[in-house]
Amino acid sequence: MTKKGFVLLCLVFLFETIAYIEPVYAQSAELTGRDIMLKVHDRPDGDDQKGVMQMTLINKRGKMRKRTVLFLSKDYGKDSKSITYFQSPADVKGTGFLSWEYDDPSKDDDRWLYLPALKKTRRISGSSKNDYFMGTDFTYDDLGDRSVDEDNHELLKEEDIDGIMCWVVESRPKNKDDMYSKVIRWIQQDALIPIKVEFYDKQDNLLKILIVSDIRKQDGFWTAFKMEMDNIREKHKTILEIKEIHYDIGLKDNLFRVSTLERGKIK
Amino acid sequence: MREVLTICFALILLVPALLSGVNFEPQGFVDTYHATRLNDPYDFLSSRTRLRLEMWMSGEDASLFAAMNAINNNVITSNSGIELREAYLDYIADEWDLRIGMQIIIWGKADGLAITDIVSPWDYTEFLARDFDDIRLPVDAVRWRLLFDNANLEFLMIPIFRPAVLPLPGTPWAFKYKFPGNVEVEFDNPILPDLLLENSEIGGKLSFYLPGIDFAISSFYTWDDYPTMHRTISIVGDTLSVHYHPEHHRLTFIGAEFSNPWEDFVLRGEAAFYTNRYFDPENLTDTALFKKNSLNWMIGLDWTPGNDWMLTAQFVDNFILDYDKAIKGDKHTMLATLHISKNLFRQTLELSMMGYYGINDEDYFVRSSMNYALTDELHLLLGIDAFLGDDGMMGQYDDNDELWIKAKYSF
Repeated sequence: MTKKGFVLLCLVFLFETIAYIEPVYAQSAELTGRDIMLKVHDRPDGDDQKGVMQMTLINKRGKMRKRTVLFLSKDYGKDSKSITYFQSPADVKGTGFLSWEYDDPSKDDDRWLYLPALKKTRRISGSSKNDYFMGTDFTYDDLGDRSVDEDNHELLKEEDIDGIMCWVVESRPKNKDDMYSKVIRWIQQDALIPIKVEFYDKQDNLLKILIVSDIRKQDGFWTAFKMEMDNIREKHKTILEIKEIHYDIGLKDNLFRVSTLERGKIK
Repeated sequence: MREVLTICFALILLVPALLSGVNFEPQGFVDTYHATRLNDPYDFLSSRTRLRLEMWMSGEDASLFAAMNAINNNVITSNSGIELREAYLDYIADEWDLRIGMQIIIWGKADGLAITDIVSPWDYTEFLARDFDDIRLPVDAVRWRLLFDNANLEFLMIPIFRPAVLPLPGTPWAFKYKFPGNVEVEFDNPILPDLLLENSEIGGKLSFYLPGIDFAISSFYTWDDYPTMHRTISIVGDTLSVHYHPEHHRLTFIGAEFSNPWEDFVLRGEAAFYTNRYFDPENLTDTALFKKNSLNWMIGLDWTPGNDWMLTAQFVDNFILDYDKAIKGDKHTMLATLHISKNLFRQTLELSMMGYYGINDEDYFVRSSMNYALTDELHLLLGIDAFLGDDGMMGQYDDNDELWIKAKYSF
């Protein structure tokens, strides 16, 4: 469960990073792969947000399992705090996670897990980046706040996908222990949202494809409402959908405390 | 009578909720658990089915939570019936909150061990052969917390004492006392404190949640959850008669705890200092008990190495200060635990092993289990509990090795 907590909070970050308020137009001729990835990483979002997200897991026989989470987050300069609760399935309903995330890479994030059956809050550690979260096709690393300089980036080309102009950027990890040999992203130029991502295993074989769709403005922010990760090798699929989200709603600081987590739910 | 009151309570909850339109969220589960002894006579050590119904209603700043169990227990039939598990009211302000009612209060950082976690008593009806959340009992309490950004200051008052539940005589989990053949033994019912305000338990805890570390200090003026076994002796011919008069006594406790994550590890620790605790004499004919201070402490390490593995190890020492050799039991009573779990098949199957090792008596209890999520709602579990040892808390159940199955449907 500790891993679940970490990744859920990373999920919140993921959706934050694909929300953007101002279209950005730039000439790819002036940009490197790193420049583009920095823009994707650093684009502004709201000061806080609250939403509901559903994850649908589909196995190769078509059997579906669903999880729903409520998430809240708030920025504190370059740092942020998040709190997340499972709303379903019933066996984990009320399980909550609190995270204080720091921009300083030398400072570990602080994380807590609340287990309603045990009435207990646990301090939790970081988890293996290569583990899959909650049976989904997303690893911690897929969802986490990966530093731009953990990879070498190369702008391969510009490409039109169904009328959307994209930069195609290939990223290769500097750390040879990473589970992917490379990741190729098709980044929508006007919104700086990756609409397609290919993940390759260590043998350079295609492992997974992520398709991002239903991109529209919510409260003035571009938001991707649907992400579909297709695990080619295992014939397993995960669909993440934002069911509800609001930005800049003035969330109180006292929501992001252990005492709130221990109540098991948020009004 | 208790069942009638519980049903009335449930109706009192339901009717206004349905009429007033406040948020009303019923949830719960049904589980059924059956365990058979793995030795002759292969009888059932547990056989029970339970419906848990939980209700949560909320208004603007106040809310209400209630949980009830309807239980059919085929082995310990006195446990069948309807019981109120929890029922409390919450009021939440910006910088403080208040919870009043029947509630389970958990302190401490240890897993499955009571070092500083002494507010809600333990239920040993089936010893430790149950889920941790089933072993804890609620208390009628008032809990008031002052809330700060990185800290909580908690005050507790428990006006009505609730003792730990020990295994019932005649059940498979009854304590096995060892007496010489020429000794006759008689037990009175435990003496509980009178229902007086002055007999309330009061306590407080100051908890800090800081970058890189959690720590807390606590104090509790309480009653010992376990009765002191006062006794009188009489000798007629060759027969020694021992008459026990169990009685609960006041206890003062000061505790500290911490939790410190580092990369894939979390280091946890607790210490509890108890004043004037009673200890039995070694010699059965001695009637004077020893009153000593004691220090219990625990250190534990969680490790999440990746690939869905989780390992937790804990070491506990219960240390009697100013020890007297005439005390029954050792100066140090030590225990080690190990918990290993691994998730498989996209986390639909969990393999788990939880082991306790009593270092003094060299006795073990190991619970190994498989938990398969047939669906998100329906879990099927299969496990084996193994006890080993000639003596000690776990060794006394050497004949209670069991194979168990469980199914749980959550809604």
